[in-house]
Amino acid sequence: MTNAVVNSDKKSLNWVALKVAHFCLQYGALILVVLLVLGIALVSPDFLTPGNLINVLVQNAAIGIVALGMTFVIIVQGIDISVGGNIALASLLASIAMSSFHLPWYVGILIFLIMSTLVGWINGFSVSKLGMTPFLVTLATLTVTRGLVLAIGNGQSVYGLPPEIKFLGSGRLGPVPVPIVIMLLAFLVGHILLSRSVFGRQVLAIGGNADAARMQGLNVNRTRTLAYVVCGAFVSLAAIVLAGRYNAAMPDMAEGFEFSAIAMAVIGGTSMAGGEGSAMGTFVGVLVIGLINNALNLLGVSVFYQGVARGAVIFFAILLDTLRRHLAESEK
Amino acid sequence: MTETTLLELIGISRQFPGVLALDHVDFELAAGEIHGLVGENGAGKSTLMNIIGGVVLPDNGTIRLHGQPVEIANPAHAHTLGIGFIHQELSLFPNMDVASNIFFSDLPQRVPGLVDIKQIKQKTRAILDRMGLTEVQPTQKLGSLSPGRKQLVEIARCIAQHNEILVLDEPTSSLSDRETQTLFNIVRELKNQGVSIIFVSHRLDEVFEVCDRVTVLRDGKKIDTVATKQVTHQELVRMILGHEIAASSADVVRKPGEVVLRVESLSRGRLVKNVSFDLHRGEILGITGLLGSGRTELARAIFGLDRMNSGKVWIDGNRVYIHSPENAISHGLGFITENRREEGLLIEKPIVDNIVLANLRSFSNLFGWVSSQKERQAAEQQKANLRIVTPSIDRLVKYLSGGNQQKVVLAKWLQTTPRILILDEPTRGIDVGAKEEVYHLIQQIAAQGTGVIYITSEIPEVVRLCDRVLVMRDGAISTSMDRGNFTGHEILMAATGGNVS
Amino acid sequence: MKTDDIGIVKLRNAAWVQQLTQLTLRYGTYLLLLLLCAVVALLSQSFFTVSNLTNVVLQTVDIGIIAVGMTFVIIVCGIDVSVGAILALSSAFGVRAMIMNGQPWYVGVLIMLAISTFVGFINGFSVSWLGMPAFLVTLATQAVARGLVTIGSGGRIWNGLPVFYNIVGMGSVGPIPNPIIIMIVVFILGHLLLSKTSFGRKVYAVGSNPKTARVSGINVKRVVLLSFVLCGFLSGLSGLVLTSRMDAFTPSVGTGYEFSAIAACVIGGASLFGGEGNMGGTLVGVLIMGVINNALNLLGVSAFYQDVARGLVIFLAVLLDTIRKHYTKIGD
Repeated sequence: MTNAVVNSDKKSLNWVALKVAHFCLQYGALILVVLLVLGIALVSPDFLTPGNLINVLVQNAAIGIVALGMTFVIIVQGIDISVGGNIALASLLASIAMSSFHLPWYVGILIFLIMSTLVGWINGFSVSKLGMTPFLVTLATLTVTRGLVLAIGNGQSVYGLPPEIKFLGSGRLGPVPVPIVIMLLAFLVGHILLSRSVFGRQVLAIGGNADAARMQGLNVNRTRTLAYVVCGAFVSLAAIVLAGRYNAAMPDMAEGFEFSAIAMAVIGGTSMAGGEGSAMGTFVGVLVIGLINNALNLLGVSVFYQGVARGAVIFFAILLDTLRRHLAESEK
Repeated sequence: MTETTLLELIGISRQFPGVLALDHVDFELAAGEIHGLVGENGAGKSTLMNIIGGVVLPDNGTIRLHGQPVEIANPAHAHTLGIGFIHQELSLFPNMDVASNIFFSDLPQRVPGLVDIKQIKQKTRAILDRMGLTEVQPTQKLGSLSPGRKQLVEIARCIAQHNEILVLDEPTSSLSDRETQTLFNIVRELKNQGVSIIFVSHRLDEVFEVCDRVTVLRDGKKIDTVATKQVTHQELVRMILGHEIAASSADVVRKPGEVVLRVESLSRGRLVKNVSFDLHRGEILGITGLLGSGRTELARAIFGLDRMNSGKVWIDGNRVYIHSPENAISHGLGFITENRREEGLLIEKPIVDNIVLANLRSFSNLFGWVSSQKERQAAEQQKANLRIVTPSIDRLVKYLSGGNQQKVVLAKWLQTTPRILILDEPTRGIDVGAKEEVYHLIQQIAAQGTGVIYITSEIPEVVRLCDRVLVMRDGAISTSMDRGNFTGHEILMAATGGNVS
Repeated sequence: MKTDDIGIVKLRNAAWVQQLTQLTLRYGTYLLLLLLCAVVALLSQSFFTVSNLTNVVLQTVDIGIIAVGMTFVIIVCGIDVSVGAILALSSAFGVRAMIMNGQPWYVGVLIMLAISTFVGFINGFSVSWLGMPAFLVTLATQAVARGLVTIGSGGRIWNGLPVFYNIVGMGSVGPIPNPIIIMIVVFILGHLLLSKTSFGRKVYAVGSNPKTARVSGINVKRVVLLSFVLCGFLSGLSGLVLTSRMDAFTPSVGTGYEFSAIAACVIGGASLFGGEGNMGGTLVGVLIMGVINNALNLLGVSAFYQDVARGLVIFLAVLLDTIRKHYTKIGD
């Protein structure tokens, strides 16, 4: 595969080490999943029960969908840390519409979709057309959306959502919980979009070599904005699932989602440098984080420490990605 | 091979601030021919190609394609006109597979919006086979290919887009011999299919090998277009250089002293192979060679910017281990990089800030307190000595001309009073007047006892300034010549692969 | 990103726009401050009183001290969103040591400054040596630090600090409260460090062009590291002053401080693209933020909407900076 590696054929030990490192970093996430499953099963008897495993998927359905959306944004060398606020705001507005104004559930869904996609569009527009830094733009949108949630909702939660929404978050289709179905469908769509569609190729192209893409006639700004819009669309889906699960819109819902979503995407192979990433990879990343959180719960780790764990996990995920990139660079 | 003219440029002129890049140049490309374009750096090759590629617009002149006048407005337009341009920095997507790279602007779709994987694989396979790249897989990630293969994929992209005209800009600079042959075979095959290729290169041996005709540019003017079978290597070199450049007798005569720098067996990957040489006090040692010959990499390794795989360095007889520029500077080294905007200057900052940058310690006391007064004095001094044209030392460097910018870089290094000064393409992008000043300054510096390493691809400079010259090719020193024993022609021959008679 | 694609650039060719831009860039911040003060004075009678104005400046002390450190970080082309969390963390453990373990006041000071400097070191090390992106690293340290605050303080509020802190927080020299004096001293020292020492020169160089700086013999990694360390240290110092003023420690202290600090620096002329900025500008930026906050309070804007306002301010500040960069970098 890599002709370039042959350069350093001075000591074959060096070469072997590189090959191993390469393999680890490429399939590391999958290996990690396997190790985690084995490790936790050994330590905790409650782990390998169908109830627990299904629970892991349900708990991480919403954030997993967010991670999927985040993948698109990171591929175009951007980031979106407003996802949590986005979810909270969309949920609040939709919930108010449905419970206070008694609008039907499908109108509520529409509000979810429109609101989140709109925020995604604002992010995308600011980044591509206005040329602003993605981190700070989405930091601003995060503050504004969270602020609006508190201001409009007066710091209160909104209850009384229609049963259809509750079904989407807590119901079952046969033996399978609906959130899992939604998540799987979302990942399927994400996979098709990213790996099989023209749009996906364009997104990857921008991440790989935006200038070349422009020279070949691609409207880079529009495609980049669309990546953020797609993220917003997936975020709306996540909001629906989350609101359905809580059967309410709460001001602090989706708190900290941005961290975990980024960590999931990065562990799953999405590179912060852009141009790399896949739906399937992110799914593996979701499993990794989900399993780690599950392990922390089963082992009775206090909730307080989970905040610390979340930060630590994202730190190591980024470190991993940085190492991955250094390795790729040094092979040139 | 037909004789019909495919592309014609008539009376093309283009001016850039301070330099007339092209002066009423005519260029004619026939259908189904491989046409070489040669000339020294600054002769106008890049500008001419950029005009054909739509990157730059001509000030005057006409362009005719298939006999019809056209204006090539931008690269995308050139693209639609059937012109494919392969630059040195490839415009490919290393993160995507070969197939997607080749068909990016025209992805086959069975369902609108979705890529038809089967078809794209088939089509890619077909093109790759046609090019003899049977081992390359359509699904292979582009980044995993060697530079040579990547270049061929870019050509495959042009084939897929049915380009009539292909411009190859220094295509073999990072290719192995075998890859170069593959490239030539493909280029010949394309010619048989009626594609016309413009082959821009410094490697005259290759031009002779693969081109039907060759056009020589010099100082923005077209000198001649000849059939390669009807001209010798030596004649071509003469056309490129013009009259023989003799060492000017007005130049300062120096007597080089003891060895100040000694390099032994320096290697760095594929780029620098086992290079050894000495540098004497007060000597101007030229290092020349074509793009990709390893000169810059050699300098960077010596200066501690990049790590060397192996090698030993002695300064004034003492073994030194230089692992960072900070280190190098403390040992008396200075390095003017080839890209002053990226690595030589703080472009948004004033002249004075730039001049003091490499030697801050000398302006500050124990506590790190900097004396603005001393800084300004030093900067004013340098401004006067080097004759930097500017109303004030507070002017931002970005507003200076290329020549003055380079003087600022030089001033910065002179502030460190280096024992050894390395210059990499110091007169690139500078007008003639400024060049003369720079030559004069460098000779002064050498006369004061500094050992100077002068890296350049401009042969006249080598002949004029250097006491000795090392010619590099493919990462190793191929020839070494002493003053009085070399001519510009011989150097160019050695660098471009001819035999020095 | 190719500048031609960004819509704003098309405006730039109008002559009047160019002249206006020049004026704005040079004196804009000062004018803005004066303008704001004028507007607020019109809107509210209580603004131009000595006690209110003193109060305004007093309120800016926390952000002000942090902004000095943030200026270094931003000039060096980094960013630090963990400053608020560092403030909280260092204060938490310092106060805890004094109140729960009965340590004397100087141990408290030592702990606060040591912890904050250490976190600054972790940030700096990860960015400079490990090559990780600054915003994500500091986002991670923020999460971890906040989590640790919750653990360390157990969610409680502490009061009753040793007398030393009362003097620092409540005392005054003549009519000027001590905290303001401290801030002024910090600004002066910061200014001297930035504009009069070789370290300051190096900071500007690294921020303008790290490659050139490196070739010129500057130890880029060390400069970046020290900038983050300084920022961490000053966050701890700010916490010390804040805790003294409040004579208490609240776990949620420092939340959102990073926004205000970043906004203050950017408004004051520091560019997020590195290489530009100065202490005077940051001071004005801090005062502007203070006046805005004061105005929102005087006008009775709910705390919730203040968050929204803060987000908008950051957005505008970043937009301003982007426009600034694209105008001045090309053309002229």
